Amino acid sequence: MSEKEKKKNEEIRIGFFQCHCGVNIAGSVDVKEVVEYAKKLPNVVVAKDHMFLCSDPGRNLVKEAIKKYNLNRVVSSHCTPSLHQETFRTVLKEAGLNPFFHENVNSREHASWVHYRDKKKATDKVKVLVAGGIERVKHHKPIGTMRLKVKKSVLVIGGGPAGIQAALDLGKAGYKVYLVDRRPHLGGNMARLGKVFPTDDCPICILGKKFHELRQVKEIEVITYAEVKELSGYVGNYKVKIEKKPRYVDEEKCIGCLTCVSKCPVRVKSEWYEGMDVRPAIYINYPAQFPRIPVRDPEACINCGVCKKVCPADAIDFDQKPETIELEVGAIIVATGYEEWKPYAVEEYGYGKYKNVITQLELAQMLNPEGPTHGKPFKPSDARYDKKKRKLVIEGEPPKKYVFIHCVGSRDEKYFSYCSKICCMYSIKHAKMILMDVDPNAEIYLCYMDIRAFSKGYEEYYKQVQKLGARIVRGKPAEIREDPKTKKLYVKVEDTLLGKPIEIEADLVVLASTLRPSKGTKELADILRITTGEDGFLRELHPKVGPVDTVTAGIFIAGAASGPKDIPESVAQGSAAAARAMSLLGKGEVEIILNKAEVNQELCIGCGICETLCPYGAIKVHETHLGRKAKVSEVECQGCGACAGGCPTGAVMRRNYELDQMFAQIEGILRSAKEIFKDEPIVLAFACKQCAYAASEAAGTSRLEYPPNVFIIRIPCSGTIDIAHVLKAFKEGADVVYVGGCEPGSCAFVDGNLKAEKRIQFAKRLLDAIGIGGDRLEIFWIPAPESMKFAEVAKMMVERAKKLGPTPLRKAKAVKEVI
Amino acid sequence: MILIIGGGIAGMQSAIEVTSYGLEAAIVEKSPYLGGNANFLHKYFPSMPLDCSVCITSCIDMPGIRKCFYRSSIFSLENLKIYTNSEIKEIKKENGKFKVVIEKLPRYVREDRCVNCELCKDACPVEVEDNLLGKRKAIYSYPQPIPPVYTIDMQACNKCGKCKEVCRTDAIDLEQKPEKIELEAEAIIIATGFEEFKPHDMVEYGYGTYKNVITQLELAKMLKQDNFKAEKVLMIQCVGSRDKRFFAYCSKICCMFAIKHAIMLKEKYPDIEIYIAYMDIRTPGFYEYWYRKARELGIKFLRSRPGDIVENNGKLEVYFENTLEKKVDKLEVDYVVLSTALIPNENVKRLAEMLGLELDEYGFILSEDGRTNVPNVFVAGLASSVKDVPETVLEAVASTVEVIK
Amino acid sequence: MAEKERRKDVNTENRDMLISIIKKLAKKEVDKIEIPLTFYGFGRVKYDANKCVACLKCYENCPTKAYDAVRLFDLSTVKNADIESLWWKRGIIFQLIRELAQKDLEGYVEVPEGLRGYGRVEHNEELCISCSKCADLCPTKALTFENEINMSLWFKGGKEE
Repeated sequence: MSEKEKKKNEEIRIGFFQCHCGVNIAGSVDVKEVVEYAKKLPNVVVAKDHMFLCSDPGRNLVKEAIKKYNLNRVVSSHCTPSLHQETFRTVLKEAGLNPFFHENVNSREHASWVHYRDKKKATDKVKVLVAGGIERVKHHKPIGTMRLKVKKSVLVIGGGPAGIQAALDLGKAGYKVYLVDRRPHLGGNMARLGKVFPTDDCPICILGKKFHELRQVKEIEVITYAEVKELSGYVGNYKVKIEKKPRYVDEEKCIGCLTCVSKCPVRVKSEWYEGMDVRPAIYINYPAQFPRIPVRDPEACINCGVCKKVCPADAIDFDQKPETIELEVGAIIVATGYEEWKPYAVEEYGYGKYKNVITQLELAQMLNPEGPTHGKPFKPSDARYDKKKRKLVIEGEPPKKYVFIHCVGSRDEKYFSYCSKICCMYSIKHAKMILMDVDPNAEIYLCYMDIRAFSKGYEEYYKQVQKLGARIVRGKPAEIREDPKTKKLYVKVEDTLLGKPIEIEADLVVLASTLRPSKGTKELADILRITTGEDGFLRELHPKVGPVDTVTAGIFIAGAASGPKDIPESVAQGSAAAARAMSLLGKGEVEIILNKAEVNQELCIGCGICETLCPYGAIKVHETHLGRKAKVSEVECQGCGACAGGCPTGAVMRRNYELDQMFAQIEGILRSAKEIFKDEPIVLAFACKQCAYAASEAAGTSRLEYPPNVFIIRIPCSGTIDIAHVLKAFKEGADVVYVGGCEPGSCAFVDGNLKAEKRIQFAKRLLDAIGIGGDRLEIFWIPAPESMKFAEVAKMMVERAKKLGPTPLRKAKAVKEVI
Repeated sequence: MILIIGGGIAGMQSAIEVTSYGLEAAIVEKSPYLGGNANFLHKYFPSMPLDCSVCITSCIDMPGIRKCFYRSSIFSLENLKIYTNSEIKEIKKENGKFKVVIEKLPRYVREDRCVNCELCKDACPVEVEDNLLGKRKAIYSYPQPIPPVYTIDMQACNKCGKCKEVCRTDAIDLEQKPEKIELEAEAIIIATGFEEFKPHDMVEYGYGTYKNVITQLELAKMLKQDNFKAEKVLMIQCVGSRDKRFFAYCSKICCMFAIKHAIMLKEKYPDIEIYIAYMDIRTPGFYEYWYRKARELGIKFLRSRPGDIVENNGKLEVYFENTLEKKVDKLEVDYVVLSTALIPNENVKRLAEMLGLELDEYGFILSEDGRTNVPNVFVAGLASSVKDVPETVLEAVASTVEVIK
Repeated sequence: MAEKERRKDVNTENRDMLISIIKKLAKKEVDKIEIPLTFYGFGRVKYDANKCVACLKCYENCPTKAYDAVRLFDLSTVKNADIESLWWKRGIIFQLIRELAQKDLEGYVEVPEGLRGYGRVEHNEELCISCSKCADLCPTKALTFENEINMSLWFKGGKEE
């Protein structure tokens, strides 16, 4: 030891405090003995016990001791860190020390509550844990905080009901809002419907009102026909690049007279009306659209120039180029919505083959008063494009007999196993619209599996339609046949309630097809660094705790982008996302504690392994004057420590879980354990605080017993685990080591558990190769509520340690000592 | 200052949201602890694996930390006051503000002193049955309680004073009196939640007559106490709901509720036989995965509405028409679990009278985007219609926007 | 074919032509020749497995995919390493392995897919176009560029006329 280090070591003055917790600890642990033991450990200046350390007198005891004995480190032994670590960190802060000069020994959940039958063993275990804590705290370093200014502006992606609601809520509260939509106008799929359930309102009227409000609130800037291309920055300070497609109409100049639209000589199929209607080359999708500015389709345009001539405002500009807009926002709300799946793959229904088999969204367009036939359903086989009149002409009788088929593609293992949630209701709505507004004598059959009319007022709505005369058939049609001459359809279905197959004649068959996330959702998710589920929808952080939050701080989701939703739910989600964004940005700044990753610039070789491990893109290799070096963005870092575990040189460290601190704890625990638990097996566990450690706490609360020779070290995520930790544990005398992590898919840091699994796999093989034996090392998935599993694993690993005997290292040492 | 009536999930979430804007708030809860009906549920859908209710009630506000544990920071929110064991006595509107009188019933334990050390519990000689905790002492608390203090059940207490002797913080005060507290609130959020309909009137099922005919919430409590043993179980859906005689609306969450319990039972006792008699299985959206999992586990779904239940030698004989096979069947089971309608809390009526709120025909509060017909009175959670936990949380968050306006 | 596949993104027409010209001009088959420093496009990569930390930068960034990642950790590198000269944590780990070892440190340990930091790379000289990108990127200088050309490779198919 050099002179300097010696001096530094002498300066360390540790205070140790043991809590009785009433009888919770003192009942099964000899508190006095622990205090005496701690007193003898090096650098411990004072050791005391108290009935309730967390009470005011207890906290004062610690505070006074810090002043009186001039302490610079504190170890407190009581309940689990999840409960009172913050309490004592605050005590240190109040006493003028950096809060991170504190270490918490868990003597309740890990000793007194689980080994209550054996007072001696419980006391021994606490002693071991205390030795580890005291050794560790010597290596603690101060950790600071930083304050971060946030921008009071929000980007809302998607202009459907959810997005509009979010924008309005935020705009009215005084936040700058950018509302971006991929289409040339707002409104989303809602604008394509004729009516909306359960109130039978007209969606255009609702949207019209909302559009009016959008115009009034000057904080809201609407950017249509634009897509998000790039994202950088971090919570509170995002930079977004948006590409605005050329509309070929100057938005500033256009007065919305639509003369160009009426004079354009071209007609092509309209995407908005699913190809059922035609539109000019310069067009709008629906009359009430916002903004009411036409868009020119350069592929359809024949460049005749008529539009240019007739435009009174000289707004038409064929030379417009794509434009890139850069925005700076504090938060982002994603409300990209859904699209209807086109069920070509369901061959038995012949969608795409038989003209008169359509989807519910297509029927919705027919029923839309603004649609191609102004709300009158027709058979597509009767529709013809009249070149002279330049419009759609329907020849023949309107349909009389309808068959609606529910759950096409959804709830079907072959396609999508989830339920699309709202198709029951809109099928029922369409039946009601036909029976009430179009033809009271129409025959409508609904072929369903289960009718899902679950929300407020929905059941009543369902009953109404039954009264109006819609016929309900419980069964999934097997096949549809078409008479090629009459174009009539025959639907074969087994009515499971009648118990026999029937055949229904129909003029129009309407499929309630699956709702899918809208096109480009996955790409957008990748740009925004948020996750999608296996079904392709965006994934919320937690369905209950964070229904609109995502894994990335400052990015929220709303509406059908995270799963099929009806309009009331989407609107509620829009409001909720706005509320979350406001509570984030409202204070103008956020405080961040820097217990995160850090790079030692001298050791860093710029190999970039950390870059590949970080799930948040928070650590990146940059060119510096010293060469390539990794750099941590402390605001983006979530502190999982996955980078530190994989760094080959030890340059990247997770603060407060640095290599020397972990080594000191391992050494402290095992040195003392070898002394106290002489001939018994010693098992060391590394437990992720999100799950396995929480399970160990739950095991304590439930008083589940397991052998006392299991010592648990708390780590922020199983991904923090380093091969060095494991090897060190064996070197210091552990017989068996295991790691407890979250179940795959539920890691709080995306996939830290899987990174840990790989390291452990490798370490197992390495131990096999060098003759220690890979069986001595394991990794387990122990979810937080599964305290039983935690206790079982602990028992099993002790059994294994007994079976395998001491490691060759420990054996050799023991022999030496005997000699 | 915003007054939140009801300390269930909706109430707690509203409190967290409102206070995060720096507003003052107070929760008034009639039972001794926060959590509401959530305290009675063992585990929650829809996350897989199921979350425990304690996690949700105690750590609702920690985004990023999925599996959390132990008591919440809701107790340490600086601008939130929590009045448990309290009831609203009077609300008057004056100068655009609400004058509220609360009666805080005695807990007989001083909240500022108790440290939840359990010494008193061990000393207490009286043991009683509790519908949540099973056997408990006269002095008791919940698992991870908010507030983290003990409570004395005066109906059970024999005033022996043993708890007072062992208490080291001198927290026990057997002479505590009810206290009147006056508050002035600018807005009120009603989050009174739901109750389960008790189908005593449905003679055909013999609820209340046969011991082994229970409701889903009663099953949840039994599961929580881990004292449910059976070989054959039948669950009946839509009891009282979707039924013109009682409540015409659909209770929305009972299908998931029943499937969740069936899966929990099946996973614990793989040999148990479970039947679910239903009209329509309503597992919308991604909940469909649960329905599929249940079928994969071998839970049997019968499309039927059982007509009669008869007790015979300790077994229940259920007669029903199997609508898929068109015949009347008999099933012998150990337990019949009724998924009954969820109805508004009885206190809603009283509150509605005091505030002049409009109710719908079933007693739910009429609302639009969380607003009621009375200005500055808002509603969150199941007080306005039946919802599941995610929707409740969502609505609580969303209504905050309205409140802060 | 596979080799062509690997090189398809890079235009090596000129280089191939140059080589074929050299081959035609050559009076005799040469083994290797020295070239001046910074003579890009020609030169030879030297790989020192003892220095390599298997960060796979070379493997990922090579334009002609001349590198293969070998998921085997050679224990003899632990035996032969000079602990003092190793990077801090790597030194600690190697020292721990030595202290724990009950057998002679020999043989290979399979590295799980996706785990970086252990293992090595293999360099395929025939695919290499000597762009020196790998040596430039290599953080531990395990890959170095030597100013000589391995001519024997060109003459493998015999001298062209």
